[in-house]
Amino acid sequence: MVRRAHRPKSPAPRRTRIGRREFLIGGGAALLSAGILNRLEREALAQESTGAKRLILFFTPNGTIHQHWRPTVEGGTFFFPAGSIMESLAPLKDELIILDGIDFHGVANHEPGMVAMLTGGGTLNTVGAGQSVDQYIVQELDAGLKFPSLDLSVQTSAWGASTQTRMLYSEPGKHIPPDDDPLNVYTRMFGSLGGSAGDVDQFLLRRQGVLDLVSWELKDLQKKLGAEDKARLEQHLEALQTVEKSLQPPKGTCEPPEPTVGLPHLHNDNFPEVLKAQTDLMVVALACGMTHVASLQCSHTLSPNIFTWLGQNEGHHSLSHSGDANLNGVADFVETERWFSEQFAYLINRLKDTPEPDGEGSMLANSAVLWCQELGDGRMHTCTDVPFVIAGQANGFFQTGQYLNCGGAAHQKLLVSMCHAMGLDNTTFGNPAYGEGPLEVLA
Amino acid sequence: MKRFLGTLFVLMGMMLGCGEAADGDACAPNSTVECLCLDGVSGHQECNAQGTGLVDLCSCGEGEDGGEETDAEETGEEETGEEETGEEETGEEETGEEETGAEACLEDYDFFVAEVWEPILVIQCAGCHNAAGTATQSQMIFEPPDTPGAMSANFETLTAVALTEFEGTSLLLLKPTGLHPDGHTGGKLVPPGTLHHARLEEFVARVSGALDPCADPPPTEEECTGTLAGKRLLRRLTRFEYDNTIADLIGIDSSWGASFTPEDVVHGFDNHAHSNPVSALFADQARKAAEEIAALAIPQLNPLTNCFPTTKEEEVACSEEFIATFGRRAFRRPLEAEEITRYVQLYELGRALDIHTTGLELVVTGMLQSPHFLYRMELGAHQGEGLWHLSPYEIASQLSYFLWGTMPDEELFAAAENGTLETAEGLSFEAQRLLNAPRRDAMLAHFAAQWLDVTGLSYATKDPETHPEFTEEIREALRVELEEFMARVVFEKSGNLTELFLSETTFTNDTMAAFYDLPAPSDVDSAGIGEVSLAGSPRRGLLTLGAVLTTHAFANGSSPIHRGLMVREQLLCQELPPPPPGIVANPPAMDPELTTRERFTTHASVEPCFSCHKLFDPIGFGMEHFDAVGRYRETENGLPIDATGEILNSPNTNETFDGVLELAEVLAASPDIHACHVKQWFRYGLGVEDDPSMDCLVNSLEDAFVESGTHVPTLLKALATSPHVRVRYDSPPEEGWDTPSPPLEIEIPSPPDGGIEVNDENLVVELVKVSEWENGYCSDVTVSNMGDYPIVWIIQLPILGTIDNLWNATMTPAGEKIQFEGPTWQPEVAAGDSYGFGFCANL
Repeated sequence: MVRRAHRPKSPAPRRTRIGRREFLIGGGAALLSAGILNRLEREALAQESTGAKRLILFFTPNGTIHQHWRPTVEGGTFFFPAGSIMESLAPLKDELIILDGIDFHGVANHEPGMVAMLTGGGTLNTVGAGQSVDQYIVQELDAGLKFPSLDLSVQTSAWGASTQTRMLYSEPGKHIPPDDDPLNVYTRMFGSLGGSAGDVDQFLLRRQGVLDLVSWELKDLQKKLGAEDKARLEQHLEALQTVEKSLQPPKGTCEPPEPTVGLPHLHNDNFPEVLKAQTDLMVVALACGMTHVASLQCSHTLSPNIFTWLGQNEGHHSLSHSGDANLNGVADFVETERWFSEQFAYLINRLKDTPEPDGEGSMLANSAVLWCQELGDGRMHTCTDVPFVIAGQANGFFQTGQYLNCGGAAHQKLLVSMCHAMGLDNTTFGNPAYGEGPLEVLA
Repeated sequence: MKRFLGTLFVLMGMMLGCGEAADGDACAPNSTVECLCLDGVSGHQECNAQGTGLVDLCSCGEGEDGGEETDAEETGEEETGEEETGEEETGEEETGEEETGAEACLEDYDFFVAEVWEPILVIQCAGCHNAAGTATQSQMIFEPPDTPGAMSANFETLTAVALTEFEGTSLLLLKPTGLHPDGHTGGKLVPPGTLHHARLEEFVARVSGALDPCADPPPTEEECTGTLAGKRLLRRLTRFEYDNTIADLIGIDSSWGASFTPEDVVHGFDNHAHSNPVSALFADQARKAAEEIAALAIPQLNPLTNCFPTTKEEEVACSEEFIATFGRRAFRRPLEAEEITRYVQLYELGRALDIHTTGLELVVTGMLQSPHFLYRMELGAHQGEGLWHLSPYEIASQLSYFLWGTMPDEELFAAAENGTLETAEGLSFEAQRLLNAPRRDAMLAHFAAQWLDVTGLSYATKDPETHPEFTEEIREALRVELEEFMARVVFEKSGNLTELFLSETTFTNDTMAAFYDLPAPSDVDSAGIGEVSLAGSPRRGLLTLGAVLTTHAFANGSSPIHRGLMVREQLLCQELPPPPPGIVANPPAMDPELTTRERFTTHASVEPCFSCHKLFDPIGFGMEHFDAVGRYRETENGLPIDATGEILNSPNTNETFDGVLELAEVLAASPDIHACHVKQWFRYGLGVEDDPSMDCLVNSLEDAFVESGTHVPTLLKALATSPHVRVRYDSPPEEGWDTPSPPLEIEIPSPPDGGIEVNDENLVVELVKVSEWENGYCSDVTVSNMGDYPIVWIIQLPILGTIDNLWNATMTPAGEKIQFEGPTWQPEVAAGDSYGFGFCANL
């Protein structure tokens, strides 16, 4: 029998809830968490001495105008002429491989180019099974990191999700959405930590319980469905597993950048700020080992973005259609492409200036970076001579400081080369009918 | 269906030999074969040299020049073709059916002309797939239909494509569907599951011999009415629906949904059932939202529960009551007993880590991530032979999400519970109630923005140098005009689609009225919106809504291309391929010496551009009196504006017009426009692609719509009360569908012993936190004597914070812990008895 004396009134209980904004930032300076649960803990796959430590994809849309893109070859070397698109990359020349003469065989136009760019036209029966090359690499490396891949973007979603606005695929026809919102990215990276180690455990335990219950419900529901809906819920289950992994606290020290509070990320004029924020977050995520595979997608094919920060008033896609006689249009287009080059240079410099954690040299030396596009000459809507730029030595795999003409080689071979750079040994990727093996010029 | 029995067949006056081929050779090589013509007269046709088929069509009543006659007849058919198709679509083919009652099959060639060439190839393919066009690399090159022998050549061409396979599938089903691994430069023009796709499939089946329509007659009228419902569906909440649902479920404003990764857009709509997966990003965003929403919801327990426990037993009971009550609304149906038990586990996990309300919070967090919340179920219970009856709750959700974009209200729940929703009268009553309620307006606004493809209004950048007056205030006013116009015309005025095109009033505020040189609005409401007369102005109906004209324009100029495309694709439901590769597609540079039309005419009269651009540029030219921000202009660059235009290649709407008023009249009267409007609501309301198995439903909706004089609320009511809302036809359940799943077991951590020390091994201490606030908490402690002798108890506990209130015990510091003992008048706890005390502490 419990005896209770009169209990004095306690003050009115008022649970202070962490408001949304505080919840986002209060996680704050993240450190090693003491109480990592065993069943979520996984060691990153020990990196072999061959293969880059990370893959980074950087995308800009609507093709190029080759006359303003191509480097000039002279006296056994190459350089970027004054006024050309890649001029700002000149100080980084030795870190780059400029690839000319790569074709998407059997493919032309905006959407098919966007689809084929990273998938190589793969089907369920080909290497990659229709995944984009980054997802295939994630699958093969199976590193069990916080994020299997971290896919970031700038303003890719105003038109909804479609073959125009997406470049990453988990299966033929099934695209993977990138994260347009740097504040959301920040909280995904840092916000899942509470204040103290004990709080971390609590959060993890609660989330695990919810995930267990929701997964149970999904599997129970699957039994009652037809094949197509079963597959959709299977995708949902896989999504939950990815979320579960992402809730791990990061290993190593992670100095978070300033979160972009109060920045409307969908607003056209904020494109530069959003891109910089996403780039910074991506570099930190890679440095902290939150992931080994990251992508940064700047808008999408047919992008309507107007580069108001350069004083322009015409959409990027429209500018990409400027015929050679339209001098103003061409000049404006070149200006936008030069601006993209500067953003790529910023990324490469960040990687170059960051030492490789637990390793030697810079992050760049151990990275395989690929700047990709979905069209060759934007005016022609063709996918021949699609411009590619590799950056980083990929832990000795790439010989940088070159300008190479690939003579119309199929881009599937470039995708194979990127797989090899990451330590894989597949001999084809995507549709093998157009090309097998890696790009010979890179050997 | 009706289309199988095309009147074309009747009127063409010629016929292929039907099923004459024997098993081996189709015919004797190089012979002349007799064939039957419709009027009973014998005709003849030639067998090819290999004996594998007939070279040409049956020549009826003629001699050697059968070939030319064939062509002349073909030309004749071309000219009458459109009207005949039109008659089919407006349901006048009863004549046709009677006359062809005896011949219930359409020959391959006739099928090709009526069901493939005219509705699909001409509009979507031939523009590029011709000798002068941009698909010259392809093997599918069509001849212009007015050339001699063209149609039979085109038939052969398409047959060859149909019979060419890639990895076991016909090219004809891989290329225009965008499924070929190399893609299709022209884009994904014929999505699988659509009527057009079914036609292509049938063509392939016919020419490959898999289908012999003369042996398998097409379904009759009776078979058609049997399928007024589609398949079972699982429909993920869209962002719009998510936010509306959270607001109704929890009672807080939600913009969490708006921040989620966007949906796939199909035909312009965000709610296509098969297209909205839960990706890892979406799942993570939903998780974060669920946690934040639960954290905000639980302190305000009042609207969510009436149960406030003071004891542990009461906590358990309250948690079950909460799970059942909140769960019924979150899952939009009552929970089963096992479900409640599972969520009690989640409650106990949350409770074990903290206090009662933490347990409830975890329940809410879990439910908002559950598939039973995130997906709208339209699954039903199997009745046998593929017929499924949807539950009354599934019916209720269909009504509320279709007509209001949110979860059912209490009245709808009640109608589900008491069975009235399963009666036709009950369903009709509730549908009407929802249609009469103000909440329908938000749904209509959401539909209209997608239907007219103006969701991009908020992103439509305008050049501040050429259009400095276009402020954010104006932009917002345009958005409001669209919503008010739609809501008032559809639900307060006539409600007819025709009025949407021909309305001589709009609804807006002072700012917008002034911007467009319109008279000030009358009878303004509290938001400043009132009716504005368009009489005597150049504006009329939806074509001149500011949102439409502004979104479909460039930053610094109008765009006849985008406006024409909007009419073609969104109002006429005719999708067009993208610009092909290999040509330099320059938009013409701005030129102060030319009007927009003049700039575009140059580029749009040259092949290969013209064959596609003629389908939409001339429509957009009709709207050229309206600039990039929708203002009327008499002249452009000081030059007169030519706003004449025409619509080509449509089944029933081929007309010329001068200016937008005439264009509005053409469109308002067009059966193609009416049929397309039905299709758009069908897509939006049901979340499905145009599925041939739902032909009958679409036809019945079209009939109802047209009979009512294009009354939109009637159409919505018909959609909301159709058989599809109550039943589905789908495969029977699979093996093991009702095998119970192994029970769920959530690991519940035991509370830490926290370093409690006691002075007798028979003492058991239980510490329970009973309340908590920002910088303090209160706990109850129970000391139980499990032995058989009284104990003067002394215990030591690690205490967080500083105790500032203690009752029923005394305390002294003991190192890092606090030592508690009974009060001097009651230091003992008897054998088998318990003693309780409590304290509050500041952190």
